[in-house]
Amino acid sequence: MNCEMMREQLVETARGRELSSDLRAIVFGHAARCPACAEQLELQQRLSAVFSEIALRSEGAPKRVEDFLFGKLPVPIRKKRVATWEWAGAAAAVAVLAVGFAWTHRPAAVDMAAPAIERAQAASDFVPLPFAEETSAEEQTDVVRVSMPGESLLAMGIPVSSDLLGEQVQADVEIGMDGTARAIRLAN
Amino acid sequence: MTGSNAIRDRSGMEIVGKAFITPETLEGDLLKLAREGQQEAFAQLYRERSDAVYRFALHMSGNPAVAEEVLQETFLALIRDSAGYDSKRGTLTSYIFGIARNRVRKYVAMDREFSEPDQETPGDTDLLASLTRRETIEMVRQAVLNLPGVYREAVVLCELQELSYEDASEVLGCPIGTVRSRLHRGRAMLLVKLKAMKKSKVAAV
Repeated sequence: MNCEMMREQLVETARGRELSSDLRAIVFGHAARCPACAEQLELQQRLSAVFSEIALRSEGAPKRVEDFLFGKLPVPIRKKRVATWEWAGAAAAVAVLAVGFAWTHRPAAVDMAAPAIERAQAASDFVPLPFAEETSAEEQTDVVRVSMPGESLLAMGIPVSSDLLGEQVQADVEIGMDGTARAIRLAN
Repeated sequence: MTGSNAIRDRSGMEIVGKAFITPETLEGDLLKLAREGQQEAFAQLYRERSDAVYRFALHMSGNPAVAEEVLQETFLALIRDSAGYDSKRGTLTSYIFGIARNRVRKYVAMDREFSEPDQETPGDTDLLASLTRRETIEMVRQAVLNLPGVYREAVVLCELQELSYEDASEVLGCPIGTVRSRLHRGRAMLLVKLKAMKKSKVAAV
């Protein structure tokens, strides 16, 4: 390899990257016999060393930019996926609250003489739970089925026929994206 | 976000919340989560790349205020641009440097006059040895800032940011061979410039 061909390889050798060890050995071998190329190689190596030092010493990004950018992030729209254990916890909490509420209030059973259409709506519609957050139209919710005393459902405003009082009945609990129970209905 | 559009990490696990973001989370997916406002995803993206973007802008402009502005604009564009990044076309880091490069060009003159080096670069091995370390570093920094834009970009990306030729070619949108030849020419120009700077310094003394 002559000096002309060596010129490009000298730079790559000095950079110490992106050159095979075989080629590097050839370059060093040539430099050992050619003072002009040896001088060039040494100069390029010094330049590479200065570059490395500049890269090492360069300051990092100011913290205030990070603070500014975090303030510009969009409000998260992603719904939180509620873990199974969270659903079970929420349902259990609803059941406990409902039992307590039922004992203290003990309302009368549903008047089965009420119009059939009202009872049909009652059977399919969710009734918001007391003190629960309101569910927005775009919020994604999950529904989990639970079993609880008929009195508990009645206490929460769900129409339950008198023959279900004293029985365990199936109900659907609506769980919001924050994992809390929002509403309840009698399961079909 | 379930099914085929779900975001998954390299092991195939679906990412549904910040608790699932790991160092192995694919960078394109991190970007999606960051654009949806997931702070942890954005933090991971930002903290791994912000210093490099800031330094790139600083070495290109020589001005900390410009570097800060470029950094800010680059990541704002990243959050807001919903269609730009395509993982098939390169790494996210290259994509981010590409945005930063375009921003830098708004602030920095890219067409500086610079005399072409002769075929032979100065053969003065003492060129970078006789000054103090600090003087040498400052002189090289200044010389880099005075390179014409395309050569400055190649030197900053490949030497001061230590990008591979492949990554630099993605950032600059040109073939690897072009990056290599720009870098070699840039280095040669630097040595010419450094020799002139050293001469004037000696003359001043």
